[in-house]
Amino acid sequence: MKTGSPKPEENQAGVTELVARARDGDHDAWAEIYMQFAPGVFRFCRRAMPSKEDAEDATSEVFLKVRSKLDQYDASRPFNAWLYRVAANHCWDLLRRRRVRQDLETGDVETMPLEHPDPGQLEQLIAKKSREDVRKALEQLPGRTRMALTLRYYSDMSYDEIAETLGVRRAFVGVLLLRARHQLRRSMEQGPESQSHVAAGSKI
Amino acid sequence: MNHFDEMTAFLYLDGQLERTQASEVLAHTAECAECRVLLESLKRETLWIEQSLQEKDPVPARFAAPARHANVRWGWATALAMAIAGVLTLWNGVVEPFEHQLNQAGFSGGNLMTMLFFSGAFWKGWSSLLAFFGFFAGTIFCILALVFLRRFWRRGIAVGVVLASFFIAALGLPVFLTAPVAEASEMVHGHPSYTLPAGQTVNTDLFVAADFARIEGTVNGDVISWSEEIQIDGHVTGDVISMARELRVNGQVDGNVRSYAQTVSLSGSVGKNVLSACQDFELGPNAKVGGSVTLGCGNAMISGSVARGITGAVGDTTIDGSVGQDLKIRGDNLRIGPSASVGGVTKYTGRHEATVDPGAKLASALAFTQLKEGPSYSSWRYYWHRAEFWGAAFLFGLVLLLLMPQFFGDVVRASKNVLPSLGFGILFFFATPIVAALVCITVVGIGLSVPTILIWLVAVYAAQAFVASWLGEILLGPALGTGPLLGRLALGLAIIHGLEILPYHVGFFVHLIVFWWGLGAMAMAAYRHLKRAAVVAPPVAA
Repeated sequence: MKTGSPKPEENQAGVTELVARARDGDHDAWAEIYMQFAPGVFRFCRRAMPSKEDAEDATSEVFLKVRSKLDQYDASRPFNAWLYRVAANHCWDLLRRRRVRQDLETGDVETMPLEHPDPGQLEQLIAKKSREDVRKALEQLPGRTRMALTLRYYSDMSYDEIAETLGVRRAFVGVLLLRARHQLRRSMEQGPESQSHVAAGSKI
Repeated sequence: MNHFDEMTAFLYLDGQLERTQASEVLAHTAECAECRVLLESLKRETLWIEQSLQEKDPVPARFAAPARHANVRWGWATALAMAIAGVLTLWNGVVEPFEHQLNQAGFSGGNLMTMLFFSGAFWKGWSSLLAFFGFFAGTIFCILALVFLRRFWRRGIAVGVVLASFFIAALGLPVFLTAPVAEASEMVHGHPSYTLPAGQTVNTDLFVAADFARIEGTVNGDVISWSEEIQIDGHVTGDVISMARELRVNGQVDGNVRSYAQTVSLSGSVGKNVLSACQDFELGPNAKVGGSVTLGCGNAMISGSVARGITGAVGDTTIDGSVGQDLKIRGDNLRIGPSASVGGVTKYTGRHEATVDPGAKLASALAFTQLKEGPSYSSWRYYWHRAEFWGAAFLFGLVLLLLMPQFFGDVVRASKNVLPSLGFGILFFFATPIVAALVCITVVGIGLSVPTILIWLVAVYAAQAFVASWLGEILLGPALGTGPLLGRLALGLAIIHGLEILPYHVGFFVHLIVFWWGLGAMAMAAYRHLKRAAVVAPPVAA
């Protein structure tokens, strides 16, 4: 899994020691952990959540959660991976609890378009839109769609990990991802003015 | 083969197809340009989305790594300065005056014996107790210094030194406990009564536990008694220490009389000092006290003579005897009768004005201070005192935080459950002293209940530190590191102590709620701690 921390492998030994100290109640060790990982966790939450404010709240909550769960962390596994799992689960919990468009989303999952898309149109879109446009379009997407894209293309999670985090069958992850990409394409084609409309009512 | 659909292409690129399916796709791509283009553009789209999402956007300041050195050093420097100030204030404001008062009341050197039941040993002498406190304080500060230095040292060494100092403290404790214990003593249990007949002599200390005890003979040592009633008609060359409903001294005591009783009446002679906490105290017309009298009681009637001074917090006081030195009374009423004489100054702080008979002989005019209800807002000393209390509470919180950081954090987190904390707190607040008092009925129980009460008192005082930290975190956000946590502690305590200034006892109720709240949080954290120790934590469950 890719994460916000620069050199996870190099740091692992140091991080394990920090975590052990934080678990024993060393406030300075905890501060160190926070400073090292908060930017990365924030960036993850920024992708997963619809707004900056949501991402800030989620980040704080993730660290509160991690602090109280430090006892459960298994030191033989990478801290990074565990931390981001907690973050992913927390963000998904938040999104799910809001139940925005949840009913629509879970509706017709099996009806996927099987036709060839127009590659020319796709190339045009890639050429025309900036990376910032992609991020803006992402914000407008429904929670699960955005979450799926974030887990796959930001955190580089495997299909298994995505299935576990989102609580779906593994066979469904591919469908979910491709459908998410369709929604992203459509959202960008329609431009920012109609993006809210896409988010509000789109069904593939 | 026909063209494959987008789903197949997508799964192929993600490596999610079965081997046979994948080789079909590969074979088809080799001859179909259209599908090759589709694969290419999907691949490019993947890359495009990845790059867009992974592009780093700015992180809000509170999540970005701050210039921490400046912060942390400031935090430590402030904390250290406050700690030093707190120690100085505590020393000047509490310990020194206390020691001074003790000295005045004759509690100095080895001349007195007092009873303090601790692990089955009697402590003789306040001086050794004070020495012990001094030693204890010294140890705490050594530990504090070590905790502070730990940052520069290797962890193991520091922990070793801390443990060693605890070890030394543990070794020192028995020395303090055992050294002053009486060399030989006689213990008697009388059912229902005990009498030392006239003409008989006991040449050691005498411990008496009986319903009714009467000393008519001579004791060449101290008399220590738990009896419902004790009457001394004979001669005691040492001290009389008594916990009784009623204590009467008609005979002669060469040493001190220390008593906790409902009624104390002295009509004989006491060579040294008298200290009494009681409901009614009477010093009869023929009674003579060679030293001073220190009282904490409801009513006091002094008709006899006291060679040195009288100091007391007494509801109603009547002085109709002679006082060799100062008379200092704090209470509701003071009456000075016609046959009274005071050799030193007469100071009275009270609710009602004193009545002084014209026949009374006072060496200097009565200095009366009207006792006012509520805080005196106009006096700067009042605010200074509030600041002192705040400093003391902060110092205590600092020691707690440094000595047991994990427990501290657990309790602060437990404080977030406000209602359960309050509930448990109220329960423990009232139940603990009641249980301790019940246990106290048996003599063995005293050994159990005295430490319990002490721990309870410490816990009640500690409660504010946790609630204050919780309050600070609410206002400033969760604390990172010890420095910021101390800042939150200081802020929270300032608010709690600031509320004390409010009139109509608002501060009292605030403090009561804080005590309950923190006490309950401590109980909950301790319970969780025990539970966690008992159950092995499950592996990662993210």
